Amino acid sequence: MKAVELNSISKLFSIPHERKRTLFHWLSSLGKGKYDFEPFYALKDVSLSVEEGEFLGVIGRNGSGKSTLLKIISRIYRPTTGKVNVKGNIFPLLELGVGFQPEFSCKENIFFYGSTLGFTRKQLRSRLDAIISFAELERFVDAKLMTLSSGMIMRLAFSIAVQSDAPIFLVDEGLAVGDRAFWGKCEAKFTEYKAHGKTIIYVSHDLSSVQKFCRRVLVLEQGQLYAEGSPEDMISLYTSQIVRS
Amino acid sequence: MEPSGSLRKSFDIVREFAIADFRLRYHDSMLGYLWFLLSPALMFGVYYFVFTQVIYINISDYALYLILGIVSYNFFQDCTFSAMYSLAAKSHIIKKIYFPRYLVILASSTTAIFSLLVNLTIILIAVLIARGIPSLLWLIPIPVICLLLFSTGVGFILSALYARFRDLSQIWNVLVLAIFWLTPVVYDVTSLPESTQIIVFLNPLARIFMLFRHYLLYDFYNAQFLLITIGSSLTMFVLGLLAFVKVQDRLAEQL
Repeated sequence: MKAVELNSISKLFSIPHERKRTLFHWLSSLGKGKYDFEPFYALKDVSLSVEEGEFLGVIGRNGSGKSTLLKIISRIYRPTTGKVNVKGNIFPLLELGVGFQPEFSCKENIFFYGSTLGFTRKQLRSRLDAIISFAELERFVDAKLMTLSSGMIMRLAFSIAVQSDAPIFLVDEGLAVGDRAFWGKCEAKFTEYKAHGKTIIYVSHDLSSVQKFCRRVLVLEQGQLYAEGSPEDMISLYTSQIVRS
Repeated sequence: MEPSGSLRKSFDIVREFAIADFRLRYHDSMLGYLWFLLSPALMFGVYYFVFTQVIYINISDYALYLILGIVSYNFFQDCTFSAMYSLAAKSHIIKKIYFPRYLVILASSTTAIFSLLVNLTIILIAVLIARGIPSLLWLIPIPVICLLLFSTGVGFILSALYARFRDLSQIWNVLVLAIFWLTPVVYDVTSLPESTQIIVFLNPLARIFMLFRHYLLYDFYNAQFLLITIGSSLTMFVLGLLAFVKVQDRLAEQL
């Protein structure tokens, strides 16, 4: 069964030469009738199908379209052309702790952040203890977030996120959170997800973790699918051909 | 993550956003909470002075008439402005997590309605003391809901436009002032010449403001007037929502 299917997806961004952020600019340019922006394809004709339970890695240089790909799969962006088919709920981990409120306590942030991630209040309440103990923040439940270290904050965010029982996970790097011991916990979670047959699309520059977890790897280059294959082949291709050029 | 719970999820997002907005706005302090009482009170003081001492307006129970107008107008202003800024204020979340974007606007309206309800309760107490229980008191939720629907509808359109045009806030600043004077906040429609009264009657906001006065001060009921008001508020809400839903997929790139 296919969990995610992309059918020749393109995403066009218009890069204006002069960005018209105001109505005044827009009105004053109406009369000229000339396009003063450059088309830029962040993704060009990308087709992809991900099997249920697959751990897919995506690598590529900065600006090769990796994040745009994840944003299209997670519905944050709408593709300019092409079709996206997703079977089941998607849990996007594009960035951890987005929207955390520094003025609020850990507990309040669990409810705030959790609800934007698609948990109901009831689900969060029943998982509160699990979240706090996974983050190892028992002593700081009622502390304002701004009094915590950045590593603690990332741990809290990750602990909330891993509560999701969605079948498809999108992971965009930035998971190098916390100390070594915590990273061990994260890796254990990944292994657990893999064992439970979850579908994971993992975008990363950390080639060793890509090698460790992924079964199949895509290489993106300038918005296009450059190659796909086994982690070993793709990583050596990427390091020898793309990074060097 | 169960699809059946999607309404529940939406409700919980609105709830969390509304509470967070409210707390951030009033900084969790008692004085902060008092501010939404002080601001209409101050406005009331100034207009009451001007229109009883400087320019004379002949409206019975002018103090109650005026404060009802000011509180309703304040809600409209507050609701539309906070809706307009709400998407931009949450752009970091919108760019990283998908959820139906209209929930952000619904949350900002929820925050705004809270201060309206507190203010109305205080006015109601004043009405009870000054005039006894109004016979049409039970109808008062209708103009409240109409005001909420109308303002949220306007807010939908403003917020979507603001994602693209950042000078909208200046433009809306001017328009909102025009709306203040084109809507019977400080004056009464009947004091206008017949020829200009039509402008006010075509203004759905004016009708809502008048409903408040009809039910709380004048014990006046007119079914046709009520239905037109409900209809126009609902239309504004639906139009705003439809326009918003049409562009909401593009918001993440525009913000």
